[in-house]
Amino acid sequence: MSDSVISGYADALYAVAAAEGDARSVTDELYAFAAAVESNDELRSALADSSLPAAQRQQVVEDVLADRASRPAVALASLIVGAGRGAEIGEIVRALGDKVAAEHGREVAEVRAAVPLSDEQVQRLTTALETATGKNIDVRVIVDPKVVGGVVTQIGDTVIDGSVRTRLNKMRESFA
Amino acid sequence: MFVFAAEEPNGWLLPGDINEVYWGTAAFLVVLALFLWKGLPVVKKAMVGRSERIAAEIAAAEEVRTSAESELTTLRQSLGNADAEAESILAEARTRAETIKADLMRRADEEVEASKVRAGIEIEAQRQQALADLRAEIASQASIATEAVVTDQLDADRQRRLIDSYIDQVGAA
Repeated sequence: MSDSVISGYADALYAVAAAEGDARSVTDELYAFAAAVESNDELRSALADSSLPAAQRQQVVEDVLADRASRPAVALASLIVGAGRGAEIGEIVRALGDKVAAEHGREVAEVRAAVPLSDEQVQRLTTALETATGKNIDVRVIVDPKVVGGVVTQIGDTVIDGSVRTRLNKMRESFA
Repeated sequence: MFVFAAEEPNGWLLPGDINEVYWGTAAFLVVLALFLWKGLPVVKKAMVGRSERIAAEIAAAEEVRTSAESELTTLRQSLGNADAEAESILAEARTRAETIKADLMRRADEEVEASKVRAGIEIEAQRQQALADLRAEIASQASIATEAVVTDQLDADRQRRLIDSYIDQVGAA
């Protein structure tokens, strides 16, 4: 999908989230949902399956989020999937996160870890990243079992890789 | 003549009328003289002509024979030349055949050598590929085993320590 389409959806989502009064909170919930979709092949396939009626795909979204997200977050996720953009939900939500962060003079750090980070770890990591980059950082944690252990952080084009997966890959290359 | 002349026998060999003898003899002599005067030169001329013709024919025959002998000699020489030519052609063909044979043998030898080299290279390449495949397989198996061990050992406490260590390193950077 083109950047302009992604950006258009992000703008629309931001407008709705801002109108609901708490864009950051809604964005956090959509981030979590997008991460869940991207890490679950079955869920991703179902939401991206254009042969399924839109109402059926939207019902899946509502079933998954149910009590886990606010009404605006569920409605926006349902909007994306109903519009046939289920396969691009991760990109759209990331663009939304960047927009929300930029509106507050901040930058998004996408943090992937094999296990959820505690609030204290998120706070310390935010401080560490702000110290390292000199920018105000919004940390978005994505639980990704592929990381195996440790953390991979991406801020814009910069990647700070401390994952066990990368170390295992390097070890595999050294064996070969 | 005596028989025909004796129309009327007188008991002798001569005719009964002696005048017949005279006139007969005279007629004979006239005929003989005419023959000797006119016929003999013609006969002689005819004989001479015949002799000349025969001599000419003999000479012509001799000439033909000489020519034939000459031709025979030429033919024999030609045959001799043809034999020599044939021998030369055969010798040349033999030489060319030997050259071609030597060339083919050389090419065969070169091809055999090239095949040996190619086979050697191919065998070496296959050996290297087999070693590379083996190394890759060992690396893959070792990685899988290592990953399994690492994953087993990554309990919640180790995960937390890994994350804390990462945060400390980012903060110290």
